[in-house]
Amino acid sequence: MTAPILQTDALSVRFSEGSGLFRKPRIVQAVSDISITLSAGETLALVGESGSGKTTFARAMLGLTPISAGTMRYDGRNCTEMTHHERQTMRRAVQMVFQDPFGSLDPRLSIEAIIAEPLRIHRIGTARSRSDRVVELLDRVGLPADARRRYPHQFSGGQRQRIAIARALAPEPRVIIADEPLSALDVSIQSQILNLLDTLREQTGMAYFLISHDLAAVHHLADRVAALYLGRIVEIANRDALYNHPAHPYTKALLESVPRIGTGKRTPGKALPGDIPSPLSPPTGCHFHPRCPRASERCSVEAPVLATIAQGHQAACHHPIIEPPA
Amino acid sequence: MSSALLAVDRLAVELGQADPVRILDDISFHLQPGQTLGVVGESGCGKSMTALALMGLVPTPSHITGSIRLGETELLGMDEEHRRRLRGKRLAMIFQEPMTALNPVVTVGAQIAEMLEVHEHASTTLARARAVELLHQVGIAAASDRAQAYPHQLSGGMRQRVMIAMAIACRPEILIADEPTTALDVSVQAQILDLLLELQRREGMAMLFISHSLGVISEISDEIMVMYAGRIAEHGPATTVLQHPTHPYTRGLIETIPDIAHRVKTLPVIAGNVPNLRNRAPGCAFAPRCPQAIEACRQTIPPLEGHAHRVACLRATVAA
Repeated sequence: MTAPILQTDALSVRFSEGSGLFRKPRIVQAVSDISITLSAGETLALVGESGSGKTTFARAMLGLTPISAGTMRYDGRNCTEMTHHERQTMRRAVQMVFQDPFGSLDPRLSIEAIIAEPLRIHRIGTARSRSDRVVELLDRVGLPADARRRYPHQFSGGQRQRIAIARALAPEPRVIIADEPLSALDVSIQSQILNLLDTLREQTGMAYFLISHDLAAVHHLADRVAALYLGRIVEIANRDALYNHPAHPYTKALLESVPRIGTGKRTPGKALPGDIPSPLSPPTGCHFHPRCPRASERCSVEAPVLATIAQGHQAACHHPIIEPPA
Repeated sequence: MSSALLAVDRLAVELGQADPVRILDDISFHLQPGQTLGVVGESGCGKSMTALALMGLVPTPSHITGSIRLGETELLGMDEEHRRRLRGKRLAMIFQEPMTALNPVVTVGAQIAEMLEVHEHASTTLARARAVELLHQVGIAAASDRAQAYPHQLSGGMRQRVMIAMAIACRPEILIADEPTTALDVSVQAQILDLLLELQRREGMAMLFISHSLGVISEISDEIMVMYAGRIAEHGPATTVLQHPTHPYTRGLIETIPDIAHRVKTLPVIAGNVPNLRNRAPGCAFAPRCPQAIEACRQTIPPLEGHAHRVACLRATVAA
């Protein structure tokens, strides 16, 4: 295995809420002890429901949210110890695509200005060569060259997401972090963008860090998948191992709640009960125990740590579903 | 069919006055008691407008033609006072985002009770007691405490349960659910789908369930109606539509969704975008994106043909 491009070690993010003159701030542990690696050319997906800390973790990786504990490394260098130059190099190499293609593009800039912006910021090329590069990038994402003279409002959601992808591609990144890149799009457009992301990955050897609640899309694109619950990784494995032999009851429940086409009307009674608890007052022990069908006394007291189930497959559960590979 | 609870016939809606846009055209279908009709399609296909037309909530200025019969009663052309009395009583609706549909400054118990006070002239005490009962029925624990809560104090899933409790308060014959699970997480979505199926089994109400997700539609519907650009593309029993889709759009929709059970390298796509209804080309609205389209498709709008399984496509036999 090649050395990872990005690596987090026990990364945690805490927010304090409601602090006042005489009031003790309440601490929200948004992300706890996350250790992941992302190597060249691989796609790692982070799945989980809203409030699980997916987006906070992505923002911490980009340096948009301060890290409270643990480390984040780029090419083995601790991000907090980087020189200005090193940080610029990392910022160029790690680009982001956001969920909302309407909010993430400046409505007053032409498409050319939007796509060339990262090139200008990182002082890549001349004005002339940047212009040529924009045309080339538009072509890569399947848009005509004349799109560069137009403005975001003249494009549909799917086209805007292509523009956002072209902008992310501009400085030739090694990693693209994509936070729910499909969820604002119509289903017929989602598959177009999924195919585009797949093709670009093959052409460039980029790594993707994909954040999504859509388990079918993740299955299509990811090599490895991590499931997050209330800020903690509960399971991480290769795609097929995780989908075919989930070890954590939460992962299993999540997979079972994905609506399937053509399996007929559902039989009520199999849904996971309850809601994701508030991160302000997480349950003791294993955060999942109040909703878990396998929970025992121990689960309410002792938080399980990630343990290896099989090679490359880890789960944080006192009572993992042991399903040996067939 | 005389047994139909709801009979919609050639419903068309034009929005705007000076330069009207036809956003629904030639919509005809029946809904039987206790049955769920799933309506699926992408944004702008007319799903929500169909629901609003049934509820009598189409924004003005607009021009509505055709017929909507609820039992023996014609709803189109009915005066607003009578229509308002039907809403909530015989026809109820739940929306995608319960936060915007609920009143933020009134407790959820009082909001449910209001339905009963308005429609059934129940006394406040009786209505409040019944509200707690309804909250319990939709699976809210500690219902009498929760009745005192304001919408912002509840989770998204709970708010949707409150909406459902309001909708079923007067035991409507038809529940219209417009993307009721779209804003929810998958695990909570599964809970809400279970709840709706359970309530339907108990109360025998018919449902018109709208979703952009074919997966969700497939899990809750007896019949499926696929809409595209304001018209019905295909309509039939759920298993037939899903297993033998005949309209190229339906087939495209099914194939384009990644399937966890069968991973393919490259997903089949429906090229292009959903059309703008203002600059509608003559002929079939799907023709510009359709792999099967021939010249005739671009000239005439295909009629919706068939009985139990209806399809609006000139190339239906070729596609099948």
